[in-house]
Amino acid sequence: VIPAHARAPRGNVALIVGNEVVKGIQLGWSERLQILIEMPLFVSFMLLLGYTIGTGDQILTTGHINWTLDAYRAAWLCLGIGAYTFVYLLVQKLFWRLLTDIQTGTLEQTYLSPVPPWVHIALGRPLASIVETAVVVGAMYGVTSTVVRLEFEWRLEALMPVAALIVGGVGLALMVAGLALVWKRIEMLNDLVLMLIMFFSGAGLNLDNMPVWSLPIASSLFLTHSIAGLRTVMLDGDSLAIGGTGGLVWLATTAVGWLVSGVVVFKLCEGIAQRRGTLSHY
Amino acid sequence: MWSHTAMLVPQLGFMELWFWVVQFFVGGGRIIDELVALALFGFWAYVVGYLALLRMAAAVLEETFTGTLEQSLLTPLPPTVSSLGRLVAAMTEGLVTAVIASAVTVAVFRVSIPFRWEVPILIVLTLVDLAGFALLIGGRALVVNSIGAIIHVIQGVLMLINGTYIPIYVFPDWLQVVAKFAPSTLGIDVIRRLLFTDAPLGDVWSAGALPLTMLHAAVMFALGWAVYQGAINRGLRDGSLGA
Repeated sequence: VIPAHARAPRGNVALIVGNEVVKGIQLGWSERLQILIEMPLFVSFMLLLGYTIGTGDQILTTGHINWTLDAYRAAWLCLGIGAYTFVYLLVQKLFWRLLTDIQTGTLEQTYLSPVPPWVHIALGRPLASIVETAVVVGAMYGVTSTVVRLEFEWRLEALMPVAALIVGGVGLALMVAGLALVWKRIEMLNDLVLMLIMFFSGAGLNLDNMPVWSLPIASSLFLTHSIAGLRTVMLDGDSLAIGGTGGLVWLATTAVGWLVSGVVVFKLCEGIAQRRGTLSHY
Repeated sequence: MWSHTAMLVPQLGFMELWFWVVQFFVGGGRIIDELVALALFGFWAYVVGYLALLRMAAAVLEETFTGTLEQSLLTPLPPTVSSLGRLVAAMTEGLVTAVIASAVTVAVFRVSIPFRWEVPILIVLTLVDLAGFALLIGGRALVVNSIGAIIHVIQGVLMLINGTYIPIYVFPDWLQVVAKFAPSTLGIDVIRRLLFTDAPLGDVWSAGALPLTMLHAAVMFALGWAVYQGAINRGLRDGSLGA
């Protein structure tokens, strides 16, 4: 028996991936109301975080905190939380849509396609989610800049940490997608992983204030280096270093490492689900 | 709940860690025990609300997609009984998880929580308030399926403004007003006043905080019930409760 995808002309792959991207964008467009709701909530979260981080002693002694944010602090936080939000939405969108496909049985249908199944899940869907998520994060920046002053250095060099963010984020999303294929009800695990990544990556709190034992974990995360790289270029106006946190070596290594790990985990889990015949069992 | 024991552990771990992370951030890199005590009831309510939303909205959507929601209504019992059973199960799971999670925090950080006999009444009012909110979102999710993807955002905002993050008296005046519309905020604030400022119940009543808490819980539950049951009835009538 020749698998359907083995008979597919090569040109069809691009067409099918393109269709998957278009489908994802159409899905995103159909959820525009939900996205509109999400946006102010994410901005509120970021601002509240900005105002309250490090105010514990002040709250206990005076019962008040200063509800102002200086421009540097606001921009510092915006880059960290903005990058995290991008990864968060990317993973969540991919996970919930995959879960919907599993529940409704349409996931198995994608395995009848002439291209390998991973192309749909590992390429088409993340690409669509990237487009949608980038729009949301861009709008978040726009809305936030109307509330607090944000001063960034817009330089092409910032594209490197952005690329690392996307590549690493897709890797993480693939890991979550793979686990969802086997264990289905992993929304809590999903939230837990995303929360830990936010904590260790320095998105909200400077790595200098983190416990020493957490630093090796922080170094292994693609998000840590993407955020540090973005802050170096867009906030401090410096060039990316070769080594060190946010340097080129760490950016490339962690991004590729997470992507490869994501593909491996996804393929392993997909194999398990196929062997068990549980791709659409829920 | 018992059949999902494997999920309960990461659930608890997630809730616990998230609260500690928030307190770690507010403490600027350390956890301040006194602040944890002030925020603990907010955290408790957040856990209950989180799980209630997960079960009443996300799980109801799951069942809609798989078709078992319609099946569960093919019973001689009226749909209201089914809804009530689902709600009680969700709230029980939330309550048990929240109590365990709060107890772990108390044990780890040696938080001292005084006891007053009035507090259980406030806890019941807060539970009614959260149950109403879960019904409201669950009912909307039955009509607008995409709400499933923003439940996490709703849960996050609930945590931000109900006193889990910082006590609400620290908020700017306008935000205090907004926060009081959110489920559980009023109940948590009254509990904080009773336990940590030693305010007599009479003072809390005459200041309007307690009557407002009761009114909020009653209105939220009535509204939530009407929306949820309305969505179920409409789905049964239109045949739209299936995939």
